[in-house]
Amino acid sequence: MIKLIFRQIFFVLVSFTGVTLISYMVLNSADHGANTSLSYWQYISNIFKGDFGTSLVTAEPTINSFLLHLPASLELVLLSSILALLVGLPLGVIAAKYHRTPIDTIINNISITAYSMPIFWWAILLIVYIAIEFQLTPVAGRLNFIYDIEPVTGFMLIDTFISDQSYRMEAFFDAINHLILPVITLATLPAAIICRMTRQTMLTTLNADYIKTAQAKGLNGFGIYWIHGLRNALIPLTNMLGLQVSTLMTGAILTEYIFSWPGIGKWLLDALSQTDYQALSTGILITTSMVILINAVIELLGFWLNPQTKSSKRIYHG
Amino acid sequence: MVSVQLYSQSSAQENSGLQSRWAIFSSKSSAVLGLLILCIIFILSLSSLFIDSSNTNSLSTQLIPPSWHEQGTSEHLLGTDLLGRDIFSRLLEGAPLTFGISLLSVTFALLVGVGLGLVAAFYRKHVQLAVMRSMDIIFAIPSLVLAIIVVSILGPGLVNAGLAVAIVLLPNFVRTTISHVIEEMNKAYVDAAKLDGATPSRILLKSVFPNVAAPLTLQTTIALSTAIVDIAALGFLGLGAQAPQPEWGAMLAEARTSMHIAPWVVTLPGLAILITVLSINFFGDGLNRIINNKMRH
Repeated sequence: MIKLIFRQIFFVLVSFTGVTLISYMVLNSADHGANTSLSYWQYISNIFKGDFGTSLVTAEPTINSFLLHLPASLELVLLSSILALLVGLPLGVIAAKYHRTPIDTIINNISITAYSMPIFWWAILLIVYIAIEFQLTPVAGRLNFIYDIEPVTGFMLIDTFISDQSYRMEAFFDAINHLILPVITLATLPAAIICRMTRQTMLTTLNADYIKTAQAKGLNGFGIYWIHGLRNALIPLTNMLGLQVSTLMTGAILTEYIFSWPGIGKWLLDALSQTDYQALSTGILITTSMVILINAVIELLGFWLNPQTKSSKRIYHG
Repeated sequence: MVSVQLYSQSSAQENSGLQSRWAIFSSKSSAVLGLLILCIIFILSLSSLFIDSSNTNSLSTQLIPPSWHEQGTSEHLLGTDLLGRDIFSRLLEGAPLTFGISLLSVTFALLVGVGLGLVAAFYRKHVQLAVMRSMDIIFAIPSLVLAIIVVSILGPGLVNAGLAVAIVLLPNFVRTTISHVIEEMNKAYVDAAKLDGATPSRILLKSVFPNVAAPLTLQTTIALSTAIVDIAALGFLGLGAQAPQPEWGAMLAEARTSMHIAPWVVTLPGLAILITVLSINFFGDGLNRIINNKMRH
């Protein structure tokens, strides 16, 4: 385990070096901005001092605007992950339980359609039919302009809730209303993937000998599917969930763009369209490093949960 | 924009003939339907390259609804957009862009990825480690962030978007190749070939590689569906195909301005993407059944 931790730390360090090279390249691709006469070593030492550069567009330190936009993205991504798990996991178990029946077929077809759905189109359909036709939800943004909520944590649900304004509950429900469509948009693809993966791992698990033993001992359906089956199916799932961090990030960029959600994704795209290479390179550096770090932690967690994966990993890690 | 392997993969060992494979494939009607639609899309996108559709914009034909709508006309099957262009012929013109560029990036990623994978599996040790680690870094970067990196360095455009997508897809091909080649290398038939005196490179290319072809085919179909969604997403964001180009994602972005008054303008290009990707995934599901079935016997 210690060896694995060191190996993982080494990999993270190598990856960070690779990522800084890339972000340095992005910084220097601005041929019109004569500001970047930084050498790579200066760039690195500046980062260690916490200086990620200053945006030429907003004249703000780029790290500040990154941190300003981060909570909006986290709020969206966290809520979407929860929704995706709440929908995907039970559907996957149900599909596995009713394997080779119409229920399995229906769930399978829904999940493959959701999986094939281009999420930017899905978002537009939701906007056209739910927000515009039936006016059930707002079209874009995080909160109605009539509410004046002081940003404390940056998480709109928390900020409206702890606000001391008289309309704080109205603002709170307005924030929820604004979250509905973006969260559905972002949760759809991960939910479909989780559903399919759960179904697959459950089917494999249910064929295992210990399940047959449990059945022979006379355990009932609930115990087998939800306790024995799901618990063991979750182990390979945690490994695969690490891959979802990337998927969620990509989905979040598209979702934020469509719903004008003021998070990291929209900030990155705005920086690109304004050719703000300082902001762009900071954004790329931090988001990518975050994903690498989260993946490394999840992988270690997987090893810790299930030492079996060690041997199978060794096949391609040499 | 998914970088996950949905289908469990296995290697094909025995050659059980085309007929039995087709029987397994066609036992699921969705797989056959997927294949059929894919063929139609392929033919349509090929033919639209040679047919000169005179699709001019005119204000007199602005925003005509599809033909099944009360106000629709038979002249414009799927209606027209804000600039009066026929949507059906634009979708046809867009097919070689969205579908064709995706196909090209997948081919590129397949060739480079398999090449890198074979080199890594052949030399093992440090070469393999270097290849795996650099692929891990690419894999860790979210695909859209990677595309943003490519576009910020090379500038927007359909070709650059295709290149970005190819880079995104690369790690999957390298990983599939390496892990399956190494798995096969441990099998008895490789030992037999070694005893026969075959050189390592001959074993790799003549004995092992054909058995890796099945999981690679599956990987290619997964990659194609990812590529189409990615290319369209980049077009939609204005990073890929640019506005007047009828690439499906770029069409969707253009149509957003009129979505309040003409929902069909945004519905149709997305539907084209969905149908294409869905057919590829159904087709992939069928392929997966063939490969899995062979594993069991």
